Amino acid sequence: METQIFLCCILGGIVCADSEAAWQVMISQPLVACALAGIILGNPGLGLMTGALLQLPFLSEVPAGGAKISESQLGCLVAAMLIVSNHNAYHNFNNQLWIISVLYGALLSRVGAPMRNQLRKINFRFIQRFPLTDTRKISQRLTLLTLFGLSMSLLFGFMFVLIAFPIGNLLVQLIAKLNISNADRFFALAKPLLLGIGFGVFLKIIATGKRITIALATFALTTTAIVLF
Amino acid sequence: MKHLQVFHRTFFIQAIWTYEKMLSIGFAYCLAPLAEKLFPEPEQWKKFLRKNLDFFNTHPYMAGWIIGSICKIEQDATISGDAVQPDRLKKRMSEILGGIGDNLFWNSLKPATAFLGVITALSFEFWGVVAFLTTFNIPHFYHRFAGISKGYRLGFEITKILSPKRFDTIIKRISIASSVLFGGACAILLQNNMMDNLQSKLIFFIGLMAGYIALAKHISMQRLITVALSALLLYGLLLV
Repeated sequence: METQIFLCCILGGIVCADSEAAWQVMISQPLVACALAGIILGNPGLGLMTGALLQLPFLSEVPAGGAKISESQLGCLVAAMLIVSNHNAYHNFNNQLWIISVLYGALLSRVGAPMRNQLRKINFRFIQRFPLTDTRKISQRLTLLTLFGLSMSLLFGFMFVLIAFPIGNLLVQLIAKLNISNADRFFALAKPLLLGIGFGVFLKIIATGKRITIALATFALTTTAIVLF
Repeated sequence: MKHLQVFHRTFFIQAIWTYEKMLSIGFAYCLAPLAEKLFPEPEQWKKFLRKNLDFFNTHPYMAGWIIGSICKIEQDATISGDAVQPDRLKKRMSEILGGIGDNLFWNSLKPATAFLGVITALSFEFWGVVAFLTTFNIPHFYHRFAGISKGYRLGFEITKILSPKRFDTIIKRISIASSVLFGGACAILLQNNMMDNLQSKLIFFIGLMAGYIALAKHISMQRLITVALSALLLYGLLLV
């Protein structure tokens, strides 16, 4: 288990770097990151399903123009890790575990945002410490600064997961002791609720008068086709 | 060969992002291999790099266009001995490309491809991840690479081919495709196992309305998810 957690921490570093500092090839998106966490922790299907449900609500958060956005990707990753790693241990408690983990992930996203802000300030202090204007080794300095920024991002993601995951695990174990599994079937509604929120966000992103008409027409046509065939 | 090196470096253009300088350090880091090739004297290319350390911000995927064109303009100026002002082009194009990149990638392509990925994942599992990564990254990689090579070939001329109007058509097409996808996905989803009863369908619809309104009213998704799931949790506990 320790190796798996360590691998997930590395994944956290990669997710953090991919979300801003490097690549930006969308590995950091919940759909991909949670699926990878699922593979590492031995339940790829559950990781993927968690990622799929968490992907759409956060679509509206874009890092355009250096906007201050929440650290939702890392929050989602930790939530998926909690869900997958505790799935077998609490099988009467799965839907509740799902809600608690996602809530914890949402809380982490809020905490992560000011930390990201600090990271940007550290970058600036490092640049001031190694000025570029008066140096002859400008090429090497540029590489050094880039490597520093990348390393800080990787380290931030790694530490974030390393600290957040055990705390989340403790929280889950604590709540599981309350033994409130009777309502677990009711809690299954959290998944359609979250999917609905995601669909609502997507609809708002694409929504203009004409686009909604197109969407409604496609909905009617597809429904008719399903009913007929 | 140097283009490939610059292409590789553009993936790290935001590595040392700061509020004060934004992408400037990353921009100079990307320029370095081309600068070393273009200017024979070390002092010349070092001067060129220092000149490009001022504030710079654009969309990271589109920065290659500016990198390529700036190098071409500076190279031509060195050969001809003319005084040019690439700073004005840099400033103007960074604003234009920033706007185009944000609209094309963050506001259109990412939501559309992520939605496609999620819908595919709900039915075909890992093919969803493949669909998302492929459909998003093909245009992404294209702009990163073509930007450098075309920008280098065209120099000042990039202003002619990179008009926001040209991209508006692409964005409009993506938006129409997204609408079709959304309508179809809703119809298929209502037949999914996750929505096997009326209660699930009803709560999906409530979620849809909540997501739409929250985004319209600029309510953060963390807050919405926290409130919605906490309410569900408390209601469930009261039922026990």
